[in-house]
Amino acid sequence: MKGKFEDKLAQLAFGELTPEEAAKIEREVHGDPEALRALSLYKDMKEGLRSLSEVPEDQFSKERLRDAILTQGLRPVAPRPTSSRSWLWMPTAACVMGFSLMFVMNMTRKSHGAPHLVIDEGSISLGISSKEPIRVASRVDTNAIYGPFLPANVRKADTAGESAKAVDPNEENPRILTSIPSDDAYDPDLGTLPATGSAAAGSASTVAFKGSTTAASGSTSGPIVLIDQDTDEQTGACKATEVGSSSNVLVGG
Amino acid sequence: MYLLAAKIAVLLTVETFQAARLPSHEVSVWNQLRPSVVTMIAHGRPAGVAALIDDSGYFVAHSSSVYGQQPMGTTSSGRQIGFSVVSQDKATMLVLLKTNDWVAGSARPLHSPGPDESGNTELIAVLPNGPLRMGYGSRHKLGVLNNPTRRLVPLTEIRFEATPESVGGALIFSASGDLIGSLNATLVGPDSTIRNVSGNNIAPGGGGFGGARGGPGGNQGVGNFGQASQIGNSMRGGQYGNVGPNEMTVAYTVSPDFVKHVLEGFLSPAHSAEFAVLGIFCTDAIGGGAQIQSVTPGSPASKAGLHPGDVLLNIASNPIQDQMAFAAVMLQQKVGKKISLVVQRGPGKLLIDVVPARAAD
Repeated sequence: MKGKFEDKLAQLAFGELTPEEAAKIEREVHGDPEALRALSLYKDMKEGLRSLSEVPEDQFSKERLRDAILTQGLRPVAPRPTSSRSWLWMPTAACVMGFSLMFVMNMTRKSHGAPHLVIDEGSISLGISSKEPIRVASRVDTNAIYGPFLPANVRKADTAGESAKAVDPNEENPRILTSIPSDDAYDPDLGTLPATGSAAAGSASTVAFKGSTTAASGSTSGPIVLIDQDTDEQTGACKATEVGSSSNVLVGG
Repeated sequence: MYLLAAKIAVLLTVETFQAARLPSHEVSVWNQLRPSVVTMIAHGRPAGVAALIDDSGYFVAHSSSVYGQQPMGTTSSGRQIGFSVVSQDKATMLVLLKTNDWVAGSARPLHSPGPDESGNTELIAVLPNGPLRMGYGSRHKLGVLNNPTRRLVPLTEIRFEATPESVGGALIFSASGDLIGSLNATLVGPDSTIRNVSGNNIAPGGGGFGGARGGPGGNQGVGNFGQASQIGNSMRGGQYGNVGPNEMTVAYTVSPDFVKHVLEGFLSPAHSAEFAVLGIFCTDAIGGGAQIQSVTPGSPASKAGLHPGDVLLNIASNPIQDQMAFAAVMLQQKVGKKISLVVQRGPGKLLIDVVPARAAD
């Protein structure tokens, strides 16, 4: 490439040619790859020089900068311009991460996803000898397959992503078989059922403990009081201790 | 016989002495309660008190006040009556007594109205030798019986100035004369030290009779008791030389609504209160829920196929966040009425129907 033509390319890139000259040079450049690269280089140089124009003029010399500080104080430096294509990196990265996450979650669900029904061997009377539990895929209607063999009081709760909390215990479900009969009473200490008379369900009453706990919200607060059977010699009452955390407190019910 | 009569005379004298130091309003409440309260006698000594809950002769007392199956008692007029033990509730430690010596209409049966919403902060504890002034601490405590049943009981915290006498088993009444419960337990500090109201530690056994049984938060709310127990102040001022505010004892009674349920059960044909149970023992589950640690053989939970390791997430449409919530929800269930449980077992969830049984205790 001739030096004169290269000068013309530089003038074209910097916008110093007349429209006629620019059109002529552009036609000549169109079929010349080397000239195209040179023109692109000059245009990049022009962009770089343009960025210099955004540098505050006070920073061009120490004297002017000092004067500016004395008279005006420091001004914030303008942010450096970024490349015209740099904004593409952020959404691209987000998309890649999103697809990766979906892929991993899908793989995890296929291997041991949550909406599976696990039937323990002891829960069905099929005489299955395997010690491994039976896993049923979430999209299979387990009630249709295993319904006749399931215990009367067990049915699927969370297949196909069904929310467990949305289950209405009073809902009439034709898959629910008759529940187990009521026990009259049993002794948690001994694990035995005393042969006492039947407690009529109609005579049972609900205990409404309004202030003692927030049972409706399912949460408790405050320390837990453990009441021992030992008697405090000083007061004659049972000994009580408070524990700040109830996580390890065993509760029966 | 003469010795017993002399003891009763002394008892009535002390009782009158103590009542004379109650504020006038509480004296009037005590005077209304006295005909309905019987002093239980064991081995010739006052062992506690029992309160009339039904005009047909049914009384209720704390188990520590009852000795044997045929205990004796003395009315406020000095008349001796014999009782028989009908039933007992282990959670509240209340005992139902029946006497055939009672004259119907001779006193007003006392009732438990349930939650005390009156806003009153004063309580009256009735001891064998008279009344004692107490006050509410917190009305919303949860307790667990540290015995094999591990039952949850809602508690009311009460506070009072330390006394030289045994207070365990005292019956507690509201300022309006309703039966609130009995003094079941007193708080013991974690390091067995005794603290006074200013937070200074006193060596165990070295501080006389007193001492706030202050464990965690033991000194909270002391300011609410600036007018507490004139009885205690007077007695200690003369007998022990203490002046000014005395140490506070933190004690617990089963919550009034729980007591009401028990008394209603006592007066039912079965003469016992029913509590629905599944027969499982749980701890807090990581990530929420109540994790089953053991299942009682033969219990409803066992028959329903619940296993140790299962996590209860929902009971009868109540979300279960921890084992305390599980036990609290179970307190609201009825014996014999089917409920649905949402159980996490491994990666799956099961919906299990179960019919709670009646707790034998």
